[in-house]
Amino acid sequence: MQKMDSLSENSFIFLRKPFSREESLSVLQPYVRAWFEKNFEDLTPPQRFSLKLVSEGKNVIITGPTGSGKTLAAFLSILSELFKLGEKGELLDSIYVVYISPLKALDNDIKKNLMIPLTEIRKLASENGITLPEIRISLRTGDVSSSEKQSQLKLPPHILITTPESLAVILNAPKFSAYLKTVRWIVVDEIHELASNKRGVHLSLSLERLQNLVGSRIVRIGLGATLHPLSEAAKFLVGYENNAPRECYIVDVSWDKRYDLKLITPVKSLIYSSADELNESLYNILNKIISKGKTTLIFTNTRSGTERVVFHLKEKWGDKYNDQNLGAHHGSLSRDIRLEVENKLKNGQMKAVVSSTSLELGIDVGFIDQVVQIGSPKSVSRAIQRIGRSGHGFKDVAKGIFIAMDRDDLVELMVMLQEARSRHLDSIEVPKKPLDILAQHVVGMSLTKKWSVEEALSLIRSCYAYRELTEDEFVSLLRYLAGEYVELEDRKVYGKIWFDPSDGTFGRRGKYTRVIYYLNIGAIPDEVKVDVYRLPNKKFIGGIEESFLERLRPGDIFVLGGKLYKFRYARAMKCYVEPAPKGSSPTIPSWFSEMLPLSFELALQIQKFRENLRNMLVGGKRKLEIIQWLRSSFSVSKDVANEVYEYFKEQYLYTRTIPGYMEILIEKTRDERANYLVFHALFGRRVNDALSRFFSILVSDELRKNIGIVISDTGFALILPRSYNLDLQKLIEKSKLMDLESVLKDNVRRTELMKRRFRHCAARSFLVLRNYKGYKISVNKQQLSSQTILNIIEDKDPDFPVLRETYREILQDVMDLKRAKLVLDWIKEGKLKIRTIETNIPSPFAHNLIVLGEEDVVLMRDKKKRLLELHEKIMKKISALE
Amino acid sequence: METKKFIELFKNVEVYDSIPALFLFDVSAIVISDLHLGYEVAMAEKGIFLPKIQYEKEVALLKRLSEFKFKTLVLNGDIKYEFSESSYHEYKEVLNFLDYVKTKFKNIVIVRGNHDTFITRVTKKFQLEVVDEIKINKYLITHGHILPESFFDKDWGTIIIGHEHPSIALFDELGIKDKLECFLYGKLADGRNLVVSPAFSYVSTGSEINLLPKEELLSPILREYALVDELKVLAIDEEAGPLYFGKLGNLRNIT
Repeated sequence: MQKMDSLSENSFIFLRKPFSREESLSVLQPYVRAWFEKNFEDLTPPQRFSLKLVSEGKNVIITGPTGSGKTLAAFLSILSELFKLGEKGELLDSIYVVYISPLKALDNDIKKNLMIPLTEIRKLASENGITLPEIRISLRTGDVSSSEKQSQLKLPPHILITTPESLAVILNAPKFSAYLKTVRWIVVDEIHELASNKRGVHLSLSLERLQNLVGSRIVRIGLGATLHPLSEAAKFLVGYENNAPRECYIVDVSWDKRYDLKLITPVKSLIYSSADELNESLYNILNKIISKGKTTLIFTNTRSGTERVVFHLKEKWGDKYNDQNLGAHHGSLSRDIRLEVENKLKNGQMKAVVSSTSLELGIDVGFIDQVVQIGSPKSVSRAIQRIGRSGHGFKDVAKGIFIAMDRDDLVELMVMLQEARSRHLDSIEVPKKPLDILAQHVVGMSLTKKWSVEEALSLIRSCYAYRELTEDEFVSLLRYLAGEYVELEDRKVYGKIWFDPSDGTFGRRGKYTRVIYYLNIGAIPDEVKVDVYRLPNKKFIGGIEESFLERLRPGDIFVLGGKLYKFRYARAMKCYVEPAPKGSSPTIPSWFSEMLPLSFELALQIQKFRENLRNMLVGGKRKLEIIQWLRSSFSVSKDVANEVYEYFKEQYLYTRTIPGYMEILIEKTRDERANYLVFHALFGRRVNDALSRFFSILVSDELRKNIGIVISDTGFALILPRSYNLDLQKLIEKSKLMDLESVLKDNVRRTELMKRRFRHCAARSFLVLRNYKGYKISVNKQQLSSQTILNIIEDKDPDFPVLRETYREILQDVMDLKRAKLVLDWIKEGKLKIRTIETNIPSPFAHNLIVLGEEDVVLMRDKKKRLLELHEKIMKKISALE
Repeated sequence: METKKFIELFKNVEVYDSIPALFLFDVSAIVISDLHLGYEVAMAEKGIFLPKIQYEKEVALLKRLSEFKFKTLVLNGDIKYEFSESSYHEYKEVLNFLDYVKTKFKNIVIVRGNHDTFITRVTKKFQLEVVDEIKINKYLITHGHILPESFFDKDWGTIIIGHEHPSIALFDELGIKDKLECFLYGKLADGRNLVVSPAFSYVSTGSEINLLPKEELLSPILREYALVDELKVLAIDEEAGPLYFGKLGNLRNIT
């Protein structure tokens, strides 16, 4: 991890030295400057860089903490320029600025916050005898009414505040898009939230389409919390022209903020306390923290965790906490509930708000005393971002309390906070060439005019994510969209575009295509939900995911909406259950919670820490010395240091070793339920996801059995049959000869993950529509399983674009193929050592893995053999019955 | 190969390999049901744009069947996935299919299924009649969605139905589910024989018969007149071949 990009790539200019106050303010119109000086004592750090740069029409990325005046930093020079146009009578009724944020709530805030200077500057100017026209600002999001849209069409705003999805829609709005031709500035907010996912890629294609529509160069301004590497974010924002990134100035003032980071455990010993004691103590601590301040923001890592914390606090201290002063805020809650919580936060009415991720973005939350993080946030950047929500303003120290919930959590947090103090960030990566996102935009583009492949490719390749898109890849996507996988006469139903390979042109096709585009665009997938009904009266009680249903068998008990149910049967994507008997416990965990993954960089740091501590234990260092070292090197309390020491000592005493840096320790072990191969491989779950499947398929081929896998950030475990015979050394040698990518592809094909992600990609690629011919198709009404659709597509063409994208998404976005490859290369080159041990019961470091439960399964490659074996087993059981 | 032999369900009623078809030797007839042609077109109307593979697959299977040189082919219901009052074009697959079938079998019998409301439009062109049931010697062949007129007649001994798309769900020790299409065969409560054939369709959305309670089954014949748990299960899988699983009731108990 690097503190900052060490070399500036040609197109990017890293600014370290701010402009002077005078240099900055002199770029503003006098009345704008007067307004600023009347209202603010001084420029904030981002403003000292940005005013001049923006006024000169430079592209710029500004990263800094919340409350550092980033919005004005981006907008002040723009407003000044707009007023100047107005003064000269040159301001048209057209759009000049497009502001995009990932959140509607943030859009609302920005509009409110810009209204103040817009009104006040005009007033101030008029007091000085200058008449300025009104600068109009409007929202354009999914929540905006059609009458509001109509009035925007009659009289457009000068500043349009929107979301990535709505921007993609208005790019295709026949009349309204004409107003976009005058756009001179684009502001992308919360860029750290967009740069590393498909939603961001979707936006970046919209930006290039907008650029193409406008013709002359648009100034691009990116705002966000800090992220690494900034050059990656810059490429994402400004795109490419003539084979090089467009110029971009990079301003990083994020480290001007000071942080106070504290790590605690709810109980003295995380291992010898029961779950009840742990929870009891957690809530007591939370109560104490909340009582001390005015407003506390609490982050958990999951939505269900958020709900649990709110529920228990209200239950235990009913006289103190109620719906008026304590609430949850997460993505599954309705918009009204979230808005209410946000408003109460701003007004200072809340004692505490508990959130999963939704409040980590820059919505205005008013004053927060402190932030509490329960469990590891899994990345340094996220930790900083969340803690940064506290404090009055930019100059205050942000206070964060981290509560470790288990021993791995504790070690992880300890190393993470030290990395944060040393300002080491984990890195982001822009997804490359997602074909499903591209499919949407190709349909959108074809709606506006006829394109040549060449012209379209040049637009698309100016987008960083598609820099390396080949003509073949593009043409295969065009062929798919043109419906070439069905006979000519059916293409009028299947085709969304026409494509003429003879002269390399494509364009719009089908009368429903425009509607399909409007109603189905976006990168956020709908989950396939199966309705659940309670027997005997078949009362609807909620939904579960399709993939979850696939795993249920009659008699299984699972949680839904906080209650336990017993699965009876399913029919046509409907699931029937009855209340579970009193005192029963769930037999099926929820696998697909998609936990936040630990970053690779941080994982390697924890490896180093493990090694350091091992060396001390091996070297016979005394407990006191080690605890002293922990306390001074990681700024932790005696209790925390002691707990970490005990954890490592137990592992060391039990196995006589501890996996260190650039090491994988394979532990062959068992418990009363199963045999395991535990890989102590601390690489983060994205890498481990790939490695575990790779190794499990080697084992599955060897044993010719199905293998269960459990994956965590600190390693993975393979669940093996009751009796087996496996030569580990041979396995390791074999692993060196196999190609990771092809082994994984072959494996992924047969997993739950594949079905689920395929469904997402199919929806994004318009293969399976969510909305068609004016009515919404709910996925569960289709009565067609993802497996069936997948089978048909695979049968037709194993290289179908939607299928290819599914593999790419799984291997590169869900898993981290690149770094998994790196790890295997390290093994081959001998840089990374693999050691093996055998234990009778799992070692302490393996416990968290074993209790996680099975996560996915690698099926034996030979289906025939699998079925014959299954048949044999079942017949044995049956004959026992008869 | 050993697995590629005929398997006898009842005397003269046999299954070959993993083909979802019944061979009636004494009357030289083959019975298939639930072809669901035009499935992809119907799905495309709903916004799911699947490639067309069903027709090709079914014609290929039919070609294999024709090689046995049986005289009669009984299409036991649901030839087309969905009939609506739509264009000629939508019927094309059925037309082509019947065209092909005519060249391969001397007699063709079409039994009406629940999806076949508009089928006579097509069958007319081939001078083929559509019936709700057909009796061939001791066999009563009907789709199964309703009780046929002759259900209580005493002159037949074996009833053959489709409609249910039976399949069985199996779980291995890791909880992984495999789903296999199957034939069900055994007795009705009155002692006569019953065979339920799996769907001939490549895209089959079958009932997981061993997981469903009896009252949830689709066919009234199964629900009300069959000894469901006594029915025997012969699963078919292209790769693994036919697999005999014994009585359905036992399969229910162990999953």
